[in-house]
Amino acid sequence: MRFRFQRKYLAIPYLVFFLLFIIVPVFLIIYYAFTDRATGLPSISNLVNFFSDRTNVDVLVISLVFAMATTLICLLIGYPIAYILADKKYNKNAVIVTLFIMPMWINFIIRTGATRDLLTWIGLGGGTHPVFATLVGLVYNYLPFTILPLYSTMLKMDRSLIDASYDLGANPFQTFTKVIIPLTKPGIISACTMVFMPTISSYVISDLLSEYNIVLFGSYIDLYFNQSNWNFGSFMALIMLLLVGLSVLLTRKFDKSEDVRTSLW
Amino acid sequence: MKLPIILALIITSSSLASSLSVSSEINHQKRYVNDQFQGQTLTVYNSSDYIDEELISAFEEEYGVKVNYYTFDTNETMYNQLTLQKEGTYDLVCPSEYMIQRLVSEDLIIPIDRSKLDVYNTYAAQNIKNKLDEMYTTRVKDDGTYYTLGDYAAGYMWGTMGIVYDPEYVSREDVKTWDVFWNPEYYKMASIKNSMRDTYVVGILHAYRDELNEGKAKFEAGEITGDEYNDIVQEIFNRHGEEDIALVKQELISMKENIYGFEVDSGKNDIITGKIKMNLAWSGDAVYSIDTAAEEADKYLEYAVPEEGSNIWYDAWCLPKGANEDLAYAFINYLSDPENAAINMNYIGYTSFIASESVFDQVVSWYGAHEYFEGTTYYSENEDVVHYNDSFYLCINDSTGNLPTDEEYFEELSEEDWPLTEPVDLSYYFEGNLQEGKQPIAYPYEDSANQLEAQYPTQEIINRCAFMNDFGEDNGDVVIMWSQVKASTNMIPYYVILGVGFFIVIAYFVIKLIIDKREKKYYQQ
Repeated sequence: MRFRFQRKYLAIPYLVFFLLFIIVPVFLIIYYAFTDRATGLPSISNLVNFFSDRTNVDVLVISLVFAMATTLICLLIGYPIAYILADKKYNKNAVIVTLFIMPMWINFIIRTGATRDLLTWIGLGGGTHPVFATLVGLVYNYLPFTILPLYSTMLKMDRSLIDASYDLGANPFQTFTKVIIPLTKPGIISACTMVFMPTISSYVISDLLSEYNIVLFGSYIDLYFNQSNWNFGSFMALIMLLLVGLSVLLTRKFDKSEDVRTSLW
Repeated sequence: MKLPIILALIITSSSLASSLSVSSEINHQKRYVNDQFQGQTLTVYNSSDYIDEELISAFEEEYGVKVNYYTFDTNETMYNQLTLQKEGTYDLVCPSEYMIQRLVSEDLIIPIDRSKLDVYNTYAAQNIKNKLDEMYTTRVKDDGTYYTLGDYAAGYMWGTMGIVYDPEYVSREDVKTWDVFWNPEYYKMASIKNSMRDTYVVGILHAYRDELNEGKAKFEAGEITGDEYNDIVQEIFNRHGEEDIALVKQELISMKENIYGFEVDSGKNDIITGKIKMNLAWSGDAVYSIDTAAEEADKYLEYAVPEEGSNIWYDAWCLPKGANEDLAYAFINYLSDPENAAINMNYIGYTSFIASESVFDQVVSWYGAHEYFEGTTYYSENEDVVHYNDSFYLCINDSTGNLPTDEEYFEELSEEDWPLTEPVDLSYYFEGNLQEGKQPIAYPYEDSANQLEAQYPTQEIINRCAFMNDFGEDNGDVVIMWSQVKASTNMIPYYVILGVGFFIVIAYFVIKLIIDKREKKYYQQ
């Protein structure tokens, strides 16, 4: 049989990538999560161990709270910024948007190192203010991810609707809650997911900025991996995967009424 | 990143060209001419920044072999790699003492043939080398005794653990005890290594400080010998039963409230920039910090090993199963060469197992004045100072065998430039390794006496230092304890915030449901 090139063959590299770097690792995690470290036999000892030590749940709660707080703060700061940026009056050639996105061009570890020095210099470093320093680092790193989706939805927003709501007698507050927020809802949702999911698993930022005083779930997993306890670490990685999956499902539910998807996910 | 790469290329190519042009000369000077290994490959796995890489190229050239040099950041990474890679991947690895014990119990490395390490045997500091034979593995010999670490490893670098501090902020009295990390006077001023074992050392020594001080008092009163005292420290050091772990956990959690934080590798720079005033450090890193602080920040730092006792550690070369044994021995011997060891020690800054005369001369040149010996060459470039007839002389012209009173080579120092006149005795390390008649003493400068002590601790300090065995079966429990310490924090605010968050989300949905229903009704009417 002669080999005939078909267009579907172009998908082969992607398929290989998909299998090697997504499917196989997930199965490896599941395999390790449900085998016993000492015997190598299938067991649920990791599950039992995880829920029998309160520290594990505590760390998960700390991570959740940090992810929630970061999302909220990013939204509070990013929303007005995105709104202003989307207004052609202030942002003529999208220069200001570029300025806001620019920090993303530099690797985050380098930026975090600089943030650490800066915070220590003004006396708010991780040694004395670990929670504050970590939040600053997280918000600083994920703010561009909030601004971008919000900005792109706001660009598409029909501004004449705002004038219309004023004409119909709405006050600015009502206009904001009944017109602007519903119109930008897809942007808000994708901004939330783009901040919430990576912060749950982020740990380099918190490690560096809190001087290792705050342990997020990612660095907790890393601690066990480093001590070559792959099984327990994998089980916790699985829990994190489930949590992220759950948050995706939740946002889908929010998002389903919208036919225009600007989200990356 | 482009520019440095190009630069590096230019430099290597030019040095290659120059080495080619003089290669015929070097051939004659080869000290280890040996064609037996021609074309073979040696794969070395070492801690990062733990060798002068020029020695590797020199080794390759002299032996006509290829060295694959890989590095790891922690012993645990090395262990993971060694277990994951197939047998025979590495010919030589350099882990710490406790990891060697683990590698032996898991049958990953093979015993060394001591007779093939002739250079190492000749030039190593015997007292330190013998310490490797005081540490046992879990493997039993044919005659029923246990194999020691010395049967499996050839020493590379060693040191103690202690505290680097800034004497401007921390009193010398206070760092004499590990309690300084719990001392509220130094609230948020100290950082600790983010390493389970090193932190455990501090915890266990603080937990049993009374027992340790009792032993020390007995030793000082002359009731027990130094060795017996060391046994006491050794025994306390290796407690890791359930109760001990719980005790250490309590200690470390209370310490965590008082310290600035944990650090991986930033501590040695943070103390220079002044972020912290105290840092738990290995002696080699301490020497680096003290040096760099003096050079770059004009800051004077000191190193102290607390009185209760501390950890003495060893990094040593081991042969994994399936290693190219003979070439590996050749490499260890090459690094143990008296000159090479000095070059290497100069680069790394840690204390080498090798206590050759070159190492001695180099260390004395760094920190103080030599006792004049006619067989030694003194260099003006090193600003060598010699002690002769109750006076000190600075070398101004390289000299061998000229008396310091010869004005062509030496210049007498005025008294205010003198180092300390009280000599430091280094015979514990260099005894028998120096030329006949040369005394193993040094006269350190006032501000480098501390550094010399960090590098070559007095015997009194060695007496109170113990090694820490692998936790063995208890390792899992210690890991859990460590993770609990790391995660320990006041959880109440977190649960409150989480609760409020959930409440708001639920309330939002309920209110929305009610409003929707109402609106529906409204439109239906």
